[in-house]
Amino acid sequence: MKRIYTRQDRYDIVADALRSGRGSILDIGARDRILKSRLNGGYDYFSADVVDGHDYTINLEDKLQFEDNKFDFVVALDVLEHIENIHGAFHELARTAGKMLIVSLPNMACLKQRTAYLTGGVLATGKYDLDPEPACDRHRWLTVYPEMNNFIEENAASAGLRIERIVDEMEHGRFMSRFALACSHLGIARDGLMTCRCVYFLSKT
Amino acid sequence: MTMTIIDNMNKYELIGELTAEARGTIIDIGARDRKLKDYLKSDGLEYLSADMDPDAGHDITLNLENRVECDDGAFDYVVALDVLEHVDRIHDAFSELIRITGKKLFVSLPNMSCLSFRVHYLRHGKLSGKYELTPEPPGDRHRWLTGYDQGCTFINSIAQQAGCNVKQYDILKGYGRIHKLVSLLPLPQGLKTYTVLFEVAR
Repeated sequence: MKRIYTRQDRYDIVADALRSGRGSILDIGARDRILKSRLNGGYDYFSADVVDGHDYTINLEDKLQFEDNKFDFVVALDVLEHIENIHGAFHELARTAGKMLIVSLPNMACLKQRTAYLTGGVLATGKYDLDPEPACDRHRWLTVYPEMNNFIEENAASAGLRIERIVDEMEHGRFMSRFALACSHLGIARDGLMTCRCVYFLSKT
Repeated sequence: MTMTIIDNMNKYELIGELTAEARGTIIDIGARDRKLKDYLKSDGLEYLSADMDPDAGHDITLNLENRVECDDGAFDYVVALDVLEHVDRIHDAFSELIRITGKKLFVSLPNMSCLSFRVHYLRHGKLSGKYELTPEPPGDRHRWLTGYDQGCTFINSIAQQAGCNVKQYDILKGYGRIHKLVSLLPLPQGLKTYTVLFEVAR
């Protein structure tokens, strides 16, 4: 299993890894289909989300209405942390993927988030806010290094997936991302302190 | 809304004091080991425990994710201590608690934005075991990050919409050496309060 550190964003990380391939891709939580615009033309791309207007309307809280191995590649970028039934959802994604499952999770324990919590008492995203009105979308899990890595490793093994590689997306910003990349390569920033997100490439064994 | 600082009692002791003269039924939702019962002082209260586990021997089994099968105002006093943050449908759950309350509702929320938690998060990158993403589904966990400002706004807004008055008690007593030190410092309330107890009167 390889661990790679990069300044690329999650869409480019996935597009880069899949640049020479072919097959069908299901993009779960596709929103505005950013991933599609970054992929090469060799893929049959399908978008899926909880809202209408996509190729498939799905809710990951429930069992997916797809047969086993329906799509060559299943991609769910920053999706699982929204799902109450995160363990069941992961296994549903694994079941649906024929060749590879690609998921990403945000690391809420990166330096930026830790300092935001220290100074403001809230994380630097509105996804955990408790507002007087119910939020239509929110993070239901606090995904932090190294817990999220353990979660993926254990559940990938039980779902019959092998971890091909883990890509750490570094903190953003021109200076910060370079500094973070250097720290990670030098082994200075331990426990994902400079990692804002991990992208996991999991292949069917 | 009034606010009082409590530096010498925990949440159970405080409810014992606040209900010392009370009469009627009191339901303890999320009762677990019925700790609250030991702190109640009034002989005129009929204590009922409620929790999710049907095999735990509670008087009532209920799940706040669903509608509570009770009439409006079914219980004179309703208590839910550190319960709402466990419930995904927290808005509906709080409204249900208000609905089944006859006289007063006591709810508490942990202040996850107190200084001791902030320092812990900076140092360790995690808050507490209640937020842990474990490889196996955890039996019980916090589903909301209840900070001081957002927690107070949430309770006050919904209670006032329901026509209720709210009294707020900022409880300083908590766990851990850092928190004990923090609670002694001249800091804003939101930084040294460990638990916020709300007394919601219909």
